[in-house]
Amino acid sequence: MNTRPQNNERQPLTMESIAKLLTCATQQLDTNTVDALRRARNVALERQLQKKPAFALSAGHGAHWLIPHSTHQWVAAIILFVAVLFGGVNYWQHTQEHDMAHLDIAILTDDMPLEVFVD
Amino acid sequence: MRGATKLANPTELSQFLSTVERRAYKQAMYAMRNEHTALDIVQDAMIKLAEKYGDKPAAEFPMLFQRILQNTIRDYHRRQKVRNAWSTLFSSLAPKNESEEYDPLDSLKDDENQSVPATPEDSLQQRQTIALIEQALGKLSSRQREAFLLRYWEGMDTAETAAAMGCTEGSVKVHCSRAAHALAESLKAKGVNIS
Repeated sequence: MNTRPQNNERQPLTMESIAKLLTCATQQLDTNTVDALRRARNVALERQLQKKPAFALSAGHGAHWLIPHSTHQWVAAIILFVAVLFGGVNYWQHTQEHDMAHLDIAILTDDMPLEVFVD
Repeated sequence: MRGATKLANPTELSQFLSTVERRAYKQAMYAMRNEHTALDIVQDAMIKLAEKYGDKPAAEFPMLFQRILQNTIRDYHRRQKVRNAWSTLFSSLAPKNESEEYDPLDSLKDDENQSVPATPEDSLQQRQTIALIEQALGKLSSRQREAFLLRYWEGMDTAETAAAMGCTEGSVKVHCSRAAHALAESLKAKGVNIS
């Protein structure tokens, strides 16, 4: 951008020209500063690589939403797990009782299948 | 929604940092007026971005980085204030630093020098104008400078600037208006008008 006046008077600046001049100023940094900025960038990139887990699964991102993130979500997940476990145990017990009841009725009514007496 | 966004790789982060590092350094310099502190701020901001948000989509980097940078500048500014409060008890370092500061008016004396070739003169005048703008920016309050640079230099809209500064859009408008006014006044005093 040319800010040079025609007759030694400065042209009025606009916000855009100020922004352009500030951008020009970034190109006038000395070599030491530019080197220091490059070193800073490399340090930051190294830190990013260190933070990445070595054995991360590529499918991890897809199932990411399944993993609880907050305490509330963890509590809800645990309650759900306990409810499912309790329901499962109850169902199994109920099935067992049902089988036993059938056997009892069969004994009482002398309606046992033949293979029960075969040893 | 998360699955649809493309996550950044280290190359994208590296490219992003290389494009913003100089501007970030300048922003920190305007705020702190100390090269070493400015470099520390930029490095801290870069590390925070890489460590905490390095795996975010690349499109989110500019906004995240500006937020981190502005917060880091504010943190350093607070710490510097505390340090200065203690150091002024023992020495008068601040006035000494100001006397060592570059005064663009010194170089303005060469304006009449006709022996300088045209292209170097252009370059010189550009440097002088930049120096005047930077000096005027240095006179703004930290919030005004922050709003002005984000809004007019970084090209953010009012909502983005408000998010980066952690304030309301109304505050951004007020800060920007006052900054533009103060900048115009300051530059006018040095013979540069803002249209």
